[in-house]
Amino acid sequence: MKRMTESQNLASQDFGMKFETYLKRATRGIWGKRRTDAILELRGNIEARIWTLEHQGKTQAEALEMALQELGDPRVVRAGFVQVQSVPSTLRAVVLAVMTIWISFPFSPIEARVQASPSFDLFGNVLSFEISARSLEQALLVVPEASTRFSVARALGTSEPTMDLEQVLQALCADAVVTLNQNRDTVAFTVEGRPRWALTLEVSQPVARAWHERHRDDTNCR
Amino acid sequence: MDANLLKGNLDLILLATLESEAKYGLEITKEVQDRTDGYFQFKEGTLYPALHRLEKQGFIRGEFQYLPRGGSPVKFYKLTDTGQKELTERRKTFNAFTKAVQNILGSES
Repeated sequence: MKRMTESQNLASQDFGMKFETYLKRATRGIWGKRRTDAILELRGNIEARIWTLEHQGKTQAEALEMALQELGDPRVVRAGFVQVQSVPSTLRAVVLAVMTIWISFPFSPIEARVQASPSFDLFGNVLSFEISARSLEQALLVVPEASTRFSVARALGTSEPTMDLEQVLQALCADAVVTLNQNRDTVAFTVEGRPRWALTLEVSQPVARAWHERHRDDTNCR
Repeated sequence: MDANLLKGNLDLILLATLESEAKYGLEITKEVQDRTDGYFQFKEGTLYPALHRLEKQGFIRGEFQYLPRGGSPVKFYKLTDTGQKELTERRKTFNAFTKAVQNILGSES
C-alpha cells in the first residue's frame, strides 16, 4: 500500500514537472503580466484537454502527453507569442547591437553596462524608454572615456522610435535570459551566461522599490 | 491541405468561428476541425499568436472565465463590433475572390 502511494506520488511529481516545464519553455521571452496571462491561458487549455482525454479513458500521464503533443513544440509556441508581443525586430536589433558593440571593446576602461533614462507618469510609473537610430559611431562618441556607465538614451538620441520599457525587456528576453537584480535601490538586469551584459535603469530609490514590489514574483524571463 | 491556404485565411476563419459565440482555444480548434470535416487542423501553438494578434488589432476581446469542471480559468475570445465589421468586409472580399476563381476554373473544364 505504501509502495503504491509512493509510486503515485512520483507519477504526480513527474506530471507536475512535465506540465510546468512545458509552460516555462513555451513562454520564455515574455515578460511580466503578458507572461502570466500566456501561462494562464495555456494552463487552462491544457487542463481542459486533459480533462476531456481522461473522460475518454486515458490515464493522467497519457492525457498530458497527448495534450502537449497536440499543442506542439514549446519553442514554436514561444516563437509565436514573442512574435506577436515583442518589439519589431529592427528595434530589437538596435538594443542588442548596442550591447554587442559595447562588449566588443574589451580593453575599454568603460564598464560593460547599458543604461537608459525612462520617462514617468504623475504616479512615478515608468512610461517609456526612447531611443532613435543614431549611428553607433556617434553613439560611442558621446560616451566619456572615463565614464563607468553607458546610456542608451544618451547614446542613441531621444527622438523616435519609442520603445515601451516592457518591450525593451521582451526584446532582451527574446534572445537571452534576463534576470532582475535583487538590489531594491536600483532597477538593473543581467543577462545569463554573459556576466558583463547588463541593463540598468536610471530611477530614484522609491521608483526602484515600487518596481520591485510589482515584479516581486517575476524576477526573470527564464 | 495546403498550409499557405490556411495561413492566408486564418484570420477570416477565426473571426467567422467566433461570430456566433465566445470560445476558448480548444473549442475554436475543435469547431474548425468539425465544421470542415477535419480539413483544417491547426495546432494551438499557431492558434494563440493569431488570436493575440487579432486581439491586439481590436477585432476580438479575450476574458478569463472558469469552466464548470473547475481548475484553471480559460481565456474566452469574443468578437468586438470592429471585429464584426472586419469579418463582414473580409467575407465579402473572400466571396468575390472565390467566385472569380470559380468562374475561371469553370470555363476551363
